[in-house]
Amino acid sequence: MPAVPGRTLVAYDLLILSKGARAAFGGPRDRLLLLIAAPLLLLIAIEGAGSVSATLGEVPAPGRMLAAMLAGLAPNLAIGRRLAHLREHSAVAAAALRREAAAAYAIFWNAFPACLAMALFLAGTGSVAEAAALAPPLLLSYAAGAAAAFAARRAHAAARLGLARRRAARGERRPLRLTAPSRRRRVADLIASRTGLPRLPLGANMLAFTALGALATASSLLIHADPGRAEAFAALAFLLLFALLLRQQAAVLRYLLFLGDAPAGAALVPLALAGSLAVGAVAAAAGTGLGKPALAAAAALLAFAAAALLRGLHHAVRPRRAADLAIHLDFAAFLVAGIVLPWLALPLLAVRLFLLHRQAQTLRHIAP
Amino acid sequence: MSLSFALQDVAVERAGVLAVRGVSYANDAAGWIGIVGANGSGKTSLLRALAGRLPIRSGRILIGGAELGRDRAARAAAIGFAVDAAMLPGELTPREVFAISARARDAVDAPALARLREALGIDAFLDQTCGTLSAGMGQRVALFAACLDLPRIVILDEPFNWLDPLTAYDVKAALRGLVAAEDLTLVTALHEVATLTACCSRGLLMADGRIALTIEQDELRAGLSDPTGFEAEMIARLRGARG
Repeated sequence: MPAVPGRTLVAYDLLILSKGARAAFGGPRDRLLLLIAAPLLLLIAIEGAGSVSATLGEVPAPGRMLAAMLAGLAPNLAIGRRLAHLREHSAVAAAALRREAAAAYAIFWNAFPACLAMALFLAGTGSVAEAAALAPPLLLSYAAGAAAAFAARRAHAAARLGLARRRAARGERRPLRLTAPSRRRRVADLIASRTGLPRLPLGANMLAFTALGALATASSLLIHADPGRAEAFAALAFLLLFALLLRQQAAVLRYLLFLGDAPAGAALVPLALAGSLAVGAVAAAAGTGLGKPALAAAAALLAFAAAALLRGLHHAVRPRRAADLAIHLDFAAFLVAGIVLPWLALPLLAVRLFLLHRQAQTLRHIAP
Repeated sequence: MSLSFALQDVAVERAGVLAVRGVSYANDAAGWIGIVGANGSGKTSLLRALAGRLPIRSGRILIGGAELGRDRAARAAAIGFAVDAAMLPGELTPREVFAISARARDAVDAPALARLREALGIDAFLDQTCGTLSAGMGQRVALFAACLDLPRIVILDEPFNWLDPLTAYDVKAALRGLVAAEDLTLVTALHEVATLTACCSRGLLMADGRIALTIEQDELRAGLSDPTGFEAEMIARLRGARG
């Protein structure tokens, strides 16, 4: 029987996914949390899908094409990144390097997002005939988005190579793995590689973040004269910045865990940068009549610390992908608890952190 | 029967820098080739490019006489390569990694690997997830996965890192046995001159992305009679090549 192209790659990823999910919900407490959160999340997803679909139904056809194109862009950026990893660092590199296998792999992982996008876009149409007429151009738009994602990856790689060549021409040496002179320098390297910031010491990055916090607050005041709207804009900007800080944290965190730092201590590394952001914001907001900036900053920092701890502890006790999955589900569960039973959310978070911390204390090796 | 390979003026770029600069080398007999050189001298980039894990910027790579410089997939299929142990999927067990590695190259587990398998001691943790293994255990899994279907060329980048002395000793003996019995061409980056003299049939000394010196087997064997003197001589040559 001839081999199906891409079968090895898909089987490899499905095995990792299924075992990752099992690892994420291996303990009875994890399963209990899933049991409570899953039906709620499903209800929210169905409700959300219905409302998105109804909104999309009112959007004219060109708008829907554009949305379908964007829907094709996001998953294919992730697929391209995964394929690049499989080609260089995996035991299935030989399969990932074969053109037809890579194409089959990409088609497989596009099936679900493409079907989901089509269902959302077509559910709001008036009749079956209208849906049938709209489906082919929507699919083509999705495919164009997918192609754009792969083109964007190639362009990004070329741009990065160009930047690296210019740096090399200026005589900057490439950093060697595990030979950086000190841990602090290495952490600065990691922060830089994840955020695109210059490769500066932690103190210099803190100063940069203070300036960024001040800039974000000042810009929100400039954009909106109305204090209420300015506050909302500033809150949104900080939410995004905090989310970006949490995103870059995983690599730093796992490096520190690898070096033997305590999980809680390692998890709170980006708190210094989040704190710098808050200091900048409070300084810029002083005397502008913007709500109670110090109180809002303190609350935001507490929430950030809790989120960072949760991430840190999950990464200490699970492999990377299982940790990512568990973190997303935990965040969703706490969000749902905060909306449905607000008084339960904080005790639930405290218990979760305590249990994870106890589990992390007993570990000898961290999962890669 | 061994599989020949040749590099002709190969250049490999890493992060905008030419990590390998015009390397030419031909190998037409089975044996153990040891590559030594300072950190950043281009050993890993050369080995990854040969195994298809990295593209080459220029030059030609011939495997079994066929030009595969632009065909990374064919190089990866022809050559066994040990992945970085830290890149093993933490969710899978070594048994699952082996099953999928063998399938990727359309081959099956070879009985000739029994001695290597025993030396690596992997049966003790075959069903433990890779995420729970120590660095040394992970390294053993990566080494065995590279040899799984007994390709004619196997590339191992610093294979004895993290291995305990007992395991390292047994693994070296098992690899020497494989090279002799199976006509295997084994290419390894090494950081120990002692392994180079004791195990290798040819040594390559790399500096600044180039092969600065080729050391033949008789010279390596002569080094066994005075290991300290030989090591001192190699270090002096390395310093000279970098200077």
